[in-house]
Amino acid sequence: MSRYRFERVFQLKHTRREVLQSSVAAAGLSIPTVLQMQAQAALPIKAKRCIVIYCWGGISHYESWDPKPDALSELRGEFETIESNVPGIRFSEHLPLMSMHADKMAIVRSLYHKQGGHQQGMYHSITGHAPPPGLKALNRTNSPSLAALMGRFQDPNSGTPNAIRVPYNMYDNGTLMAGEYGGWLGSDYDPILMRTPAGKPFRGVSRYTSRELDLKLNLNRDRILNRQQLQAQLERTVGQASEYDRLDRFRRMAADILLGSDVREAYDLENEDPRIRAMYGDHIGGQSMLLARRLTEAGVPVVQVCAGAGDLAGGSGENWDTHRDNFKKLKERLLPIFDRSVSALFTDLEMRGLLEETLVVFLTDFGRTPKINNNAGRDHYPAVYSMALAGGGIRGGQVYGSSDANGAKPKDNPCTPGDFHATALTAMGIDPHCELKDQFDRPFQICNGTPLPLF
Amino acid sequence: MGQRMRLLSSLLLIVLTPIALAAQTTEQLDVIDNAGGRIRKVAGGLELSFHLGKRTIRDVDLEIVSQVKNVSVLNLKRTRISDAGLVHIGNMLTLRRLHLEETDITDQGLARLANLQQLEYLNLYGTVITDEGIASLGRLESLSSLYVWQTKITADGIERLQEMLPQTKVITGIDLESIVLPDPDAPTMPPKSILKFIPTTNVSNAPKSGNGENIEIVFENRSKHKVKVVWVGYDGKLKLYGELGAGGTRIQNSYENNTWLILDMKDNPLGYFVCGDERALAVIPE
Repeated sequence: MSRYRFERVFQLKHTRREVLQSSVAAAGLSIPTVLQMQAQAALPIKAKRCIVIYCWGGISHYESWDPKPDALSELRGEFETIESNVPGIRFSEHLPLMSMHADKMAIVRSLYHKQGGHQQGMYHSITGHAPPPGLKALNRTNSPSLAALMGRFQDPNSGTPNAIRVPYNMYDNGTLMAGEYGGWLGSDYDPILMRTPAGKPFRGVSRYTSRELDLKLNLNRDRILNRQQLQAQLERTVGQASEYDRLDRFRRMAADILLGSDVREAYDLENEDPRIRAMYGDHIGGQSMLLARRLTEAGVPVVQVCAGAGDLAGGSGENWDTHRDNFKKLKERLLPIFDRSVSALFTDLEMRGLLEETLVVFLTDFGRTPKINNNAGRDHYPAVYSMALAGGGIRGGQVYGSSDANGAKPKDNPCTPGDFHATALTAMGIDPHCELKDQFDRPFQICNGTPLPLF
Repeated sequence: MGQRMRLLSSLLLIVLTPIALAAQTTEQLDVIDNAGGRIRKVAGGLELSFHLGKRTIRDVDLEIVSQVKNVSVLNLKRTRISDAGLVHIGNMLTLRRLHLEETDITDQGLARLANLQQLEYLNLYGTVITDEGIASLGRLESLSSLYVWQTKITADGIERLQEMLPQTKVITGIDLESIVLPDPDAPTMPPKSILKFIPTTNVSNAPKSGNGENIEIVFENRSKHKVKVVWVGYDGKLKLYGELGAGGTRIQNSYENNTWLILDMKDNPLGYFVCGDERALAVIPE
């Protein structure tokens, strides 16, 4: 090989970095292994982008994707079921718009784990790994979230973060939750938190800190001032003082974003057709989904949306922790906002030709108890619950696994959050069993599950 | 990037360069690079994308780009290319996916794609293509998805195309005119009552918040100083919700029986409010 061509490749910055950050390179494999893998047929990469929708608090499987119309009255609840656009798949009656997109979705009804608390259940669902004892937010020994991990394998253009979260951090009664960060991947891969710049807020408690990236503040102002402000904001996204030596990345990103990147333009929802904005609804739940579409379209590989109030606050606000008034809360607010925003996202992605290569992943802490409690609520229930996937090469219009007649335990094809993660990673062309090294060079297998046959 | 990674990347380049890029000439790489393009190896060939970043690719560049061998995906979304560029793309017979959405192409240019027999995905959304344009796609028997939202294509045109290509899924999207815009003049609900401000100099006088229905509080700071708005938790812990400048207002989600404490900027308590069961005004006095 001539030296000249070698240099040419180096000038082609993205190609070089792509090669570097491909799953093969990132796994730290030896050269012979790389050659061996090259000899095999390439893994078909179907999804290029991913939108993770997190139902914080634990969405009731009964009242969403696994209704039980034939269960006893004290279990089945007050909602009817409706036929979706796929014969045989029924949703809750309060997901009428989403039911018309069932042909795009793979519903998994047989998930289970053993974590009955929000922090532990959320951690297991969002990282795919069981929580270690003494879990603490921002601990660098934690497992990375699905968004952070997927982002680790991407190489976006300059000024484009690998992964973004909107619009809130997850809290439980004021305690910041572990799980939605980069963990042992390091602060470079913490998904950057952005405020959604529009939309009526979820009722209840949603905490803003000084750490969100709020690009809106930086529009239409002096560019140099902007740069300093944005840089300061980006630096605040880093949690721990010991990591401040890694801030060069954020300085460069601040400069790049302000020099007019696609991300900055995508963030400004005023640039969107008002009718499209209206389709998503004027609530922050809808506008966050719209922002997710705009950001992924602009080259951000992964965007995670918290679909509900940020702090569970004892189950008092508009989050999925429906210990009290499960039916009233779901019917009047939670499900209509969710239904409209998710359906708008599906419609929008599809008509722009983006859905085939955009994986949409629904995650939640756990399901809710089959038995309705004395406060017309349902409590935490990890023994069986539902999550879903769509787009990105996933075969829509299917249900994988089932729960028993009472929605109390898996009946067919029980599977774990790890299996679900393995499926999502595979859809993104990432080998779920490859190893990555942490900052101390220790190897970790990124996922311990088995991909489900949803393709 | 550490020394190890640099070494690894060099080694990888030696291995991967001939595989991914050997077929490209310097001229081709120059054109792609200058237009902010990216090359990626994907299943079945190479992907060339120009839709993010600079988007400066021109029709004339496509003559060079079209000579890159074994390109299966070409993304020209939102670039400035037009019919003159499609002349060259029509020669890229290995193409399986082609993004032309939001470009200036017309029916005339589209006719040049009639020989792309392997094409599976064609995105024309946001162009001025008409029924006449898609009629020229009738021989693309591999075409599985055709995106035509916000074009001039009609239901009749799609029907005629489907007679020739019954297997093709044509995605027309929704009619934007059918979406009802929210009324910007819709009145916002006025506060129904005024909460009592209870002055105190001792934080422990402010009771813990109790439970209740969801309501909204409108804080109005009539004092001459900036203040802090603090929620007293159900456990009595204080949570800072924000600062409110002199003369400022703040709409706050809350619940019945919640306590809101007002502090000065040195964290000295000034007083508190306890929410009732309806939307209320909470005035911080002069």
